[in-house]
Amino acid sequence: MTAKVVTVTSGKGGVGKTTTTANLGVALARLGKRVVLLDADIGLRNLDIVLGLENRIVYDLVDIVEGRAKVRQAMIKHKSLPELYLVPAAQTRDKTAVSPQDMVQLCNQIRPEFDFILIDCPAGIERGFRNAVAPADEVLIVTNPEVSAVRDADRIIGLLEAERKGPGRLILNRVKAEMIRRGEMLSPDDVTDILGIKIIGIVPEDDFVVPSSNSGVPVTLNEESRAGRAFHNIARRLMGEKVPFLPLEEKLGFFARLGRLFGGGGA
Amino acid sequence: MANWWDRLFGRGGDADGTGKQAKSRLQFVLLHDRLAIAPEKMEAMKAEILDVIKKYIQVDTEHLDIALQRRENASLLVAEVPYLNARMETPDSDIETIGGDAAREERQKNDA
Repeated sequence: MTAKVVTVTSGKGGVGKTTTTANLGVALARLGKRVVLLDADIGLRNLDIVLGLENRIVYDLVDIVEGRAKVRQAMIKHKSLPELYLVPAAQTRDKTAVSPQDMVQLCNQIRPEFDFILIDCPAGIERGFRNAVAPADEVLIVTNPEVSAVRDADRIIGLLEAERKGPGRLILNRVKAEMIRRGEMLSPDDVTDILGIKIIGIVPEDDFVVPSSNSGVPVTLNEESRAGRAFHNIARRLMGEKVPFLPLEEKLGFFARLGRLFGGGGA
Repeated sequence: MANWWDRLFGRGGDADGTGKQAKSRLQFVLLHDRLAIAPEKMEAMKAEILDVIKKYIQVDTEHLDIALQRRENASLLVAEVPYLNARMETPDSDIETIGGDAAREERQKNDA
């Protein structure tokens, strides 16, 4: 068996790359897959804190590349999911400490023991991006329904084609159904029309996401969360299952709609 | 704003919402991004194209439009050039050779 390497990228910062990587990792592990999460954002380490593993770090990615630690020594096991591991980024170095070739070698080394290696790519289109994309079998592009994020996603799609890693699949994050209904937000169809690539997931804006990061328990572990369910479905699609997309909004009853009439909104 | 009826029955959406603007603005800017041509270069190219056209025909420069467009998966450079009249005289002898009667007859022969 050999792991599939999936890189999560976006171009623009702040669209939810790290949250997406953490949640897909957790969801895949819950579906019985053996998963390594690789934080490639050297100098701006974050995947550890989102996963609640920030106090367990001994070695990091640069320690592995520079030979101070074996891969297994640097891997941190998740608290509740025994098949989920994190290789943290170095915090005190910069992107030039690692080369694309180092990333390919590292992934090849751990591929035989896992089902998925998910790489959290740094924002931007420079060295860190090339490092994260070099070993990828598949690339997921996270974007938001906003002009700046969609424009950056288009740039990334172009660069992926140039690196022969394209076209990648799209995750549209932080979607507000109520704003789409009012015509004040790009819809998933609009975004796929504009970018011309396939969509693998639509994640609604969800007030559970920030508290989840606050406590280091990814939102996909919360059954009540619609964003969590969306991440779970993306994980299943990554495994090759055909999973229908969730409706953008919970079905509203007549009285809820009556409330909308008088209250003016709210999804 | 959607009217009260649409709100009550969960339909509709505002056709004039900013979402539409976002889509059309993005489609426009991405055409330029993807071509990776600087706006000044684009302007220079337009001017040069126009100079060539003006050698042969009189052009209504007021209503001229040369722009990138996207139609059904094809990216196009579309020039809409309203013309007034054919130029009465050719500015130099080169053009006679390229576009003159002899060349036209030659092409018609090839087409037939």
